[in-house]
Amino acid sequence: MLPQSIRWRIQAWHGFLLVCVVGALLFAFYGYDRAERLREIDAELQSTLTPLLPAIGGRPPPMGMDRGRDDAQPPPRDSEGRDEPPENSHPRGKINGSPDRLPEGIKSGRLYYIAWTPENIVRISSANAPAEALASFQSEVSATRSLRTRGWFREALHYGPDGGCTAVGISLAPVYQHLHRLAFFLVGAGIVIIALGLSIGWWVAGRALRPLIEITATAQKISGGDLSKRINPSDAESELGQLATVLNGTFDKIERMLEEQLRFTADASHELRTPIAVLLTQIQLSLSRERTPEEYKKTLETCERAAERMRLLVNQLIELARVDAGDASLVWEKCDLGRVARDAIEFIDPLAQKKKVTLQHSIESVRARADVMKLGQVFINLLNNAIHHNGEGVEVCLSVHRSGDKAVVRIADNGVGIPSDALSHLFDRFYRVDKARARGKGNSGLGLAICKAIVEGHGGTIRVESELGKGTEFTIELPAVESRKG
Amino acid sequence: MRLLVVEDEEDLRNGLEQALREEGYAVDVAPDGKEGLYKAEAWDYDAIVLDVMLPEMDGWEILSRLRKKKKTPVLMLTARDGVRDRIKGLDLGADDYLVKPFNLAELIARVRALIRRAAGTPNPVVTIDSINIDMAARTISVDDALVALTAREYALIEYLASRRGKVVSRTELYDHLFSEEDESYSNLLDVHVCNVRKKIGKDFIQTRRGHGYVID
Repeated sequence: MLPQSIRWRIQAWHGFLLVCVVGALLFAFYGYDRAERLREIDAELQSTLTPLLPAIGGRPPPMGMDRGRDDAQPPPRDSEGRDEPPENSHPRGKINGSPDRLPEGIKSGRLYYIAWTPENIVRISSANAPAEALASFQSEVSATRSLRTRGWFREALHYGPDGGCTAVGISLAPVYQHLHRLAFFLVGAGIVIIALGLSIGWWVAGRALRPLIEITATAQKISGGDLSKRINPSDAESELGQLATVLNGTFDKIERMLEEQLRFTADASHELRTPIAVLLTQIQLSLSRERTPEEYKKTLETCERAAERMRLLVNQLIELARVDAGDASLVWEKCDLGRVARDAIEFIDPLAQKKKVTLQHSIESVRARADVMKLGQVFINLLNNAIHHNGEGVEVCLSVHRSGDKAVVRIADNGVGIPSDALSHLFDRFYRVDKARARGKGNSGLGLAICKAIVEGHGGTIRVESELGKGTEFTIELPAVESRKG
Repeated sequence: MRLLVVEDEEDLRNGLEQALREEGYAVDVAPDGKEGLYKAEAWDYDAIVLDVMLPEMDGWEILSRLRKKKKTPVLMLTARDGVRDRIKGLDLGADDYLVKPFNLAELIARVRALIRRAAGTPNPVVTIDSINIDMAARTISVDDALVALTAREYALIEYLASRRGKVVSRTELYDHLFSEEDESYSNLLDVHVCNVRKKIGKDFIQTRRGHGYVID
């Protein structure tokens, strides 16, 4: 996988954040622990110092004069060395009274004490006091009490009124050892947590992105030509699942459109092949031997029929292609639909009379934006169908009226009706209700498909209702514009 | 040889009928699937030219129903040239397949080949003694000299010659030489046999009294 991939980028950000957060947390923990331990030591030293003073001949200090404690810095190791308190050496000087009076920390040997004379000479010290912890520093300090870190030792100091100084101290070595171990432990824990977090993150990112990989693979198959493939929306709730659903819908639509297109092309070629077959057969038959002029005439008439049929079909295919191209092919103008309907009736009237069909109309003036020629074709086509598909004596009624912001055009007849199983296919291209009779008789099977395409191009709808033996009614609804009288 | 043409397109049907008639075949026609199946089942045609897209019942249906009863050679005609359609047609039992628009001469040649194969004589030239029957050219020659024959006379010889040695009954000959539209007088066959004997030789077609005719 490329480093530019989303998974890598997620992982990089995730890793960065994880290192920052875990690092900060562990560092803060270390700092807190260290400060807490030093604070405890300081408190113990202070609390030891007060009872110690009478025991070794100092006076307890007046209250409230603590100087506060120094920041306890670990001593630079190289310069000071690791100064362990000398263990079995004897204490110098004498304590007042029994050693039992000494505070607990000193009795146990954990703490040490040293007292200096004002001349900076050790007056008394415990046996475990570090050898070099002798320097007094009264000049540096003005308060009676202070805390200091000296090399590996922490000390609480008390300055007597006579200028003498008493110190209680403790070796910091165990604390530093502890902090050292803690640091190692924390770094180790940090590495483990980060490694675990990164691998979980890698896994989660991979899991979350797996649908993307699947989508890519499926889309590749589809672009390779296998349109039946679909993405398996494994997790429909997630964003990628939704994407998969949307894409599947798109693929469905594309597949349907392509199938429709393929079927249309196959149908169109089929419709053209038949008249060509007629032409070829007739011509080849004619040429196969000498014929009489009557025979030639008959052949030519047959050929003319075939050619006429192809002309009609080609014209309608072009028409359909134009309407399919959409808005651009329509010539828009504001017009009166009532006028368009009246023109259509006028046009079809001779045919109606010839077929003994009664034409009725109920037309009111409705203004709309439309392509007058195309819409007129739709009306004529529907009237023509009503006249052709029903027997003599049928009544056909064309009505135009306004309903809200819609113009409603109805073309109804009381003829034979259309079988219900055919109704849903009526507007399909090359669909014919009566397959036996209709073909080749000026019926390409495209008329209603063209009507539908034109009406839809106008932003309208066309639908049909029919009952066998009762009649058929086509209803067209078109958007009307505000009517202006006149 | 009697053929059935099932085709709904009137102009095409008429053209095919005329062309096949002129080739000397007796031709019946059917304008839709139902009638096509009825005729195909009712008669022993030598071959059927069957359109796929038919009203009432399509060509596939006719073919699959017919195949349960008869082995009549079928040439499918269709306006669809998809490979799948061709495979479907052949798998359903069609013997040959032709896509519209077709060449008329090719269609006739394929019909001839179908009939020959069905009769078990795939070789278009049959030689009986000194008589050559060229089923491709539809000519007969005796000692390399062409004999002038009518289409019906040729058809009679071809039918008997492709069943050489088998006695063919008069009814069978009537069924295969005359279409339903032909006026067939009962002695028409005798007239044709007599003419053939005059033109080719007295013993070429032999009569088996009470059974029929045979070419040995």
